[in-house]
Amino acid sequence: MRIFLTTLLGLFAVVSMAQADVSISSSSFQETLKVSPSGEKVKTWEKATKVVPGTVIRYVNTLLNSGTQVATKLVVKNPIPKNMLYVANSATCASECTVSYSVDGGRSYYQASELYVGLGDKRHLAKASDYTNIQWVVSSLNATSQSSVEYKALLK
Amino acid sequence: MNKLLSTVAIMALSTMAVNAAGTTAGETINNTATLSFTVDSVAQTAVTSNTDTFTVDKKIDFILSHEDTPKHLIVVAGKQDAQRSFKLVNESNAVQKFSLAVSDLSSKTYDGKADSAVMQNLEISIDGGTTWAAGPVLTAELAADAELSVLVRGDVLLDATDGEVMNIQLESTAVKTDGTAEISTTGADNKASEDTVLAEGAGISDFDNTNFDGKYSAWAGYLINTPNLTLAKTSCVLSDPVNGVNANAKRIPGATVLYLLDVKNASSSTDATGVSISDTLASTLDNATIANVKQDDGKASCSCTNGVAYAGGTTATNSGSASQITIDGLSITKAKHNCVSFEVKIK
Repeated sequence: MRIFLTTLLGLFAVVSMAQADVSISSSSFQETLKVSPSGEKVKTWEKATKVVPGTVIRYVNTLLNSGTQVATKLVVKNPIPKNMLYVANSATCASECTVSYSVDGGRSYYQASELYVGLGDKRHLAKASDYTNIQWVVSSLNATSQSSVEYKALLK
Repeated sequence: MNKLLSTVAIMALSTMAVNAAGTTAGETINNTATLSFTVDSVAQTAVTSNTDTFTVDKKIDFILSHEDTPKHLIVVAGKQDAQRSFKLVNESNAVQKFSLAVSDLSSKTYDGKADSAVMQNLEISIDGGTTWAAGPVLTAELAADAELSVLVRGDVLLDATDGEVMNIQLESTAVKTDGTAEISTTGADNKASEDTVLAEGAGISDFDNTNFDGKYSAWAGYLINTPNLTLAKTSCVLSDPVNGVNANAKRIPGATVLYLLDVKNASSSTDATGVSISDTLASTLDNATIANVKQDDGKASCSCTNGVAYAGGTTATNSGSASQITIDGLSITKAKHNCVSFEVKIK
């Protein structure tokens, strides 16, 4: 009986070790003009606060692996918020990744060059403003490290 | 095939309503991402991010424009209630109230014409001309993208002269519901609250408006085209009892004198009509001998020659009293003369 319990506890320990503790958090920023101490005007990304139609928001999703195992094939899916238009070519990653897009609310994702909308004669390559969701596939995230994916969108 | 999305599907997804002025102030914008991953090729439980939220702030933007063509309304001296029309468009992402004020512009040039006179009794109407007020006039709250027609009227001075220009300014100011001016929220923004950002243009750029000051002005103008009349009187002697009709006749008792009243309209644009002229005769003239009262409009000039009766023209009615010549209803063509003539004998 004791041997059985020891084995069971050992198995739990193995399972526990295999679980990377990965979290994701979302933040928004807007470009702000600041004046440096030397009087130089510098554009910086500050927390999005004073947002009016026409403002471009930079969304950053931070991935944090606080576990002890490498996480792989990290798939981040981000619906573009209502009243916002994706800014073309703005989806990027801090580390190796692929980016694809959806125009059907996230049911399917394709690279921008393969994403079409419309039927028949109306069929055409989807525009950035047609995108409804973005998907990043990050190859891996080492233990106790972080990475990020981001995109920009304009408030209508 | 699954790359292809029907137009219907796209339309179904586009449920967000945004007007031309942009996303409505006060709306919250949320962003959430989900993450799935594997460890040792084993799929792990997907996790969801926090929801990043901010509130869309109030962007106050509007345009005021002068709508008339030509830019300067042609008016005559003394014209009352001469109207000009403007359009106010609320391009804010929220309802907005405005204050309107009209003023005469001094020494400002609008559409190539420099202001040189003053418009009187300027008034504003925002109900199509039913009610008027000197202002400032407060509008109702205009919905986003809504337009408001604004009329302005004024009176032209009676002694305004031909060619004078009156330029006016209509200034719109974004105001709160209590009528006080809107101002941009200063300092650090509260992400969760609706702040105010003034974002309108300058309007007429060479006056007192600047970008983002909550004011927008537009100008309009009036141009005086009014008759410019002058009157000159000359005379010639036609005959005398000694020399008869003769170029050398003298102004002696019994001589016939031709009087010529030269009414000149110097305006290059406006005919004069309904003009009355009166001439009180000297006591040395015999009223009973007044004859050949004529008017002759459209002449390049008026002149007479001793010994020669006035040729041309048409008979004019003298409605004056015994010692006074009065002729009513005269017309004087722009840039021409009306030569009014009559003959009378010296007592």
